[in-house]
Amino acid sequence: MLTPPVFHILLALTDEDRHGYGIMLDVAQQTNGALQLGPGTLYGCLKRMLAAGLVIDSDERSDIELDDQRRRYYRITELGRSAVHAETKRLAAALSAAQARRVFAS
Amino acid sequence: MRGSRAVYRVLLLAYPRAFRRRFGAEMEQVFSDRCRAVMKSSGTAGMARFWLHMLADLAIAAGRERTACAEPRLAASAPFCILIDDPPRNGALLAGSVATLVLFAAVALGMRSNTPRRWLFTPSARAEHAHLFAWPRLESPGAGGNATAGNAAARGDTPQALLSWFDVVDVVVLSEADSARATQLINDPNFPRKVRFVAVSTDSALYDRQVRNVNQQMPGRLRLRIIPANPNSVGNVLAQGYKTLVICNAEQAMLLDLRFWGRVYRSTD
Repeated sequence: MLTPPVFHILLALTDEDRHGYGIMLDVAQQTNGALQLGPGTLYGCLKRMLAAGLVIDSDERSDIELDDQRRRYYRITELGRSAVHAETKRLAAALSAAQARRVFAS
Repeated sequence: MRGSRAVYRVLLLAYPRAFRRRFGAEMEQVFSDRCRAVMKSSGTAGMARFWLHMLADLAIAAGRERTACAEPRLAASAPFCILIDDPPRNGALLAGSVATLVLFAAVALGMRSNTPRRWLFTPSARAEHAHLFAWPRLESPGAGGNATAGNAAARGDTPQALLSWFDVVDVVVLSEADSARATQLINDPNFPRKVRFVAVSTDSALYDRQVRNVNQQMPGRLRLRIIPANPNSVGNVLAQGYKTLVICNAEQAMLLDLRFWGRVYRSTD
């Protein structure tokens, strides 16, 4: 089970490598602004995710507009993809269970 | 915004040193990006909410990192356990909050008493641009009074006065044509205690020699470094918080766009 910040950070990295601010913006977009990561939360999660091998540093620079040498980009690993996939399945199952009990109308 | 960034840089001291060393510069950059976006979209009212969010984030995250630092158990944990954010230890949240508020108050009071324009709490369009190209009107710490446009000699900027500018700004810009004053400044025994980098645009041979002479008499931690006066090099050292003397001509100063990086005192035409 992943915490919401870790899950959304992994989700932000599934389609492209991103730097910290890019991740922050994408997470806010994914959650319609409900989850606003501060720098401390974001980098605390990234530290644990790097240690767990879910993400790695990336040398590629995809955001030309905001790019400069000081920005570090992060890339999801295969393990990270597996983790986000497993978590998505768990959430989908939970959503189905909630719908079956009419807790949540689709 | 520069004031906010400077305060946040100090608040990062609440994190353990290893964490700060690894992520501090990135966190500061992210803070700065977010701060700029909030200022643009919501103005000063939005900034108040933004700061509350940042302080809460700091208190919780710094408390958690310090707890993790005090109880290293990552190596012994199963890979996925570490992704479950344990709640901070009892009292860590309170201690983190109190430490953050005390630190914030201390920095704010210190900056308020040392900074004539009180730019920290008065973000405005004027403050945003009142640095390099609009000529800073900070009071000269050496001679008193306001600095206005003009060259160093006309203003009577002695090397000592220029040196004292480093107490209140991040960058002092000297004209290439003012090499005599620049070499005097570099050779001042107090210069390496305040400044770490000398950025030169062309013909660095003269300054290489001066800096080498100074470094021979200084312990390693105070040694000066010469870097090229281009936006990347100067931007990198300023982003890391190092005070910098820039020696270049007016066109090159324009290219550097130093106002983005911090408070600047320009002693050239």
